[in-house]
Amino acid sequence: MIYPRLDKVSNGQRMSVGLVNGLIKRTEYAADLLRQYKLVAGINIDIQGLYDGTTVDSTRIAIPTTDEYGFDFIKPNVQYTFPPFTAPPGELLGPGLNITKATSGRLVMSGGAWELGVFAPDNGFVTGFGPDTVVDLPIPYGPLFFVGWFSCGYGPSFPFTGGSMRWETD
Amino acid sequence: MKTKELRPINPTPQGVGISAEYINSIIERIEDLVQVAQSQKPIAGDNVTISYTSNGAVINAE
Repeated sequence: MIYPRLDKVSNGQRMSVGLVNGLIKRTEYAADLLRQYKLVAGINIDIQGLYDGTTVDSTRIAIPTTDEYGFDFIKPNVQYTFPPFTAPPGELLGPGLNITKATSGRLVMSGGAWELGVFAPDNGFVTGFGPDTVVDLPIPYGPLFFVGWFSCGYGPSFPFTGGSMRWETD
Repeated sequence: MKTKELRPINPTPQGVGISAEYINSIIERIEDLVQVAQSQKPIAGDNVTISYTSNGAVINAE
């Protein structure tokens, strides 16, 4: 609680209960401020109280930019361009983008063709999209399915001819 | 701090007379402490939020 500044005393003044209580309350006011201003570590913060000060460090955890398959998470309203690509034998997919965060707006694809990764709870499959396609988001595949990514190419038999992708938001 | 550390007074069988100067030095010392405490208020900068509680100022990085 705020307690006002103490007045100085003069010679001959009696030491009163009021004066002593004033000293105590003003001291407690300062102590309360120090208690409120004591730094307490919250989220992504590390605090160390030292003799000559308090150090405050950020412990921010790096936000992953790629998913577990190595696909970059798509960002809104950014044009992503992919050069021609032929997936080697035994590999289904080329470079691509994770679109799980693209839940509204539309995906505008030029060139192609593209492969869309769709995951069921226990496995997954890919389905093809032709070149120069616009897909409204979210892509409906039912509640049990998870639309993961768009990728270039699908094995050596279906080379990717180059193209670009853009997530347009409203 | 502008003021110096206060020295304790010594008791005597006759009691202790405390001068107005000494009481004023206590008051100045307390006012110094109040000023330091008021200046310690943490201010949020970029990407940081601060919540003031009775137990401390909780800092979060956004």
